[in-house]
Amino acid sequence: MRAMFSRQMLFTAFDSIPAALRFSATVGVLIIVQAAIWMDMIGISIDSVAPILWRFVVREASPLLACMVVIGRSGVAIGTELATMRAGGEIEVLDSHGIDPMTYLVVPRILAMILSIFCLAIIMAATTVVTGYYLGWLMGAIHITWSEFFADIARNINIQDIVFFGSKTLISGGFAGAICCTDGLNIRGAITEVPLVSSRVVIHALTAVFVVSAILSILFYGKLLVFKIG
Amino acid sequence: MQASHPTKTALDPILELKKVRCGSHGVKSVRLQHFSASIRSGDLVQVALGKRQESREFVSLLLGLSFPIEGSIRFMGNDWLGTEYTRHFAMRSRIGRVFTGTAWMQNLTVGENIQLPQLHHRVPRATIRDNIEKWTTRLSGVHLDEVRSALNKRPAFVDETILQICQWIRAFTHQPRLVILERPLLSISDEEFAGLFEAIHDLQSSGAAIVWFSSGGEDKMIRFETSIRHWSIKEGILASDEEHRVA
Repeated sequence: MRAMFSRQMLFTAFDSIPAALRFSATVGVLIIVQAAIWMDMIGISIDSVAPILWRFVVREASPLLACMVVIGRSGVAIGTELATMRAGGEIEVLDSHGIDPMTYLVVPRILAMILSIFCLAIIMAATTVVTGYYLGWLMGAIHITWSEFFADIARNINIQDIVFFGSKTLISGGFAGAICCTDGLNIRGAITEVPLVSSRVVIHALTAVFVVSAILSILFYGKLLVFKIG
Repeated sequence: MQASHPTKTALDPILELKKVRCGSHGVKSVRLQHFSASIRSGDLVQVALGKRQESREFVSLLLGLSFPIEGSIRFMGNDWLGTEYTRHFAMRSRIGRVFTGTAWMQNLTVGENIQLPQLHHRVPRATIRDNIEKWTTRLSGVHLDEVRSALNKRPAFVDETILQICQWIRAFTHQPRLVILERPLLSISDEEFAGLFEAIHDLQSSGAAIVWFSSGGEDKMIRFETSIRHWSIKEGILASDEEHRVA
């Protein structure tokens, strides 16, 4: 199980880092461009973008992006791999030798997805903030130094955001992993079903991630858009 | 107070089928109509399959991977019913199997495939290595170097004959109480049988029971000079025949 977990971590987390960096750098650029436009329109200095950027990135953007990267890259691979194993009779081979497929195949993959999403979300949050700052600075929109920008972010870090970030990535990762594995294992044995699994996995896992994110946002911050719940 | 269990003796059946009835998902599968039989320590049962018949579904039934419509199947006194999955997996770890069709995890090397069940059941690595080396030497015959080299390759890159020998090694390494051999001589030439026959004889002597699924018209079983029991298939339905000695 440990070997399987290590392999899965290598594939799901380590090999995903370049893609995660690319996506988060692009998102950093998009956020700073939009922030510059909107803050200019409402007459606020872009220098005060740090807390907005940080909160948006930590609360919503990086957990969701990490989930998308992991689901798109590894979730589909996990689903189709397990479906192929089921259709090809490899699951029966494991069962016949007294090896629990749940312990050997499913649990390491779910754990790897949970941990990968958590780690990648941290990397993506950092990349988004750094890219956002440097692009804003290059555009001449941000006039403060990196240390002032970072100090502004540091002042806005609160425990609630950290807990929210942790629970969101871990719970979403668990759901995404479980859905990828069950969708993969639930095929009825025909190899022709395997390609269908890949699209099913993406839709089911992303739906779950968005729903979990929405529910957690409501539970943590007690707000749905601008309306206070309760 | 500790519950008292009846002492298991060599006469207790290793595998026991009582009035088992099951259909099949395809015309090629074996059907059972209130089939009763028991296999004891040292027994060798030959199940003669028709040319197009498949054993996989029936073996799944014997291993508790699927369930009969009626009747019960017990392995070493325990049934496959209920949700005690840990017990079921532990029971299956005492059964060696040579598969027809898919037999390997394609993303592991052949060596890792052989080690996996034992590692999973916490057999020490040194013991596993020794057992694999012992059975590799014993069963490989003239293919010893090829089999050793195959242990480091993925199954897709290994010749069928060598893979079949590796299946024998995997089935025998963990001192099974029951060995299920589904067409174990597929892809194997005559001169390589001797090692397998001797190994089976020794396993029988040490108390294991063997179920051998052979394809129609296979006369290689004659090489056994021990008592062989025959289960035959008539019109797709399994029947247990009288025990007789092959001279």
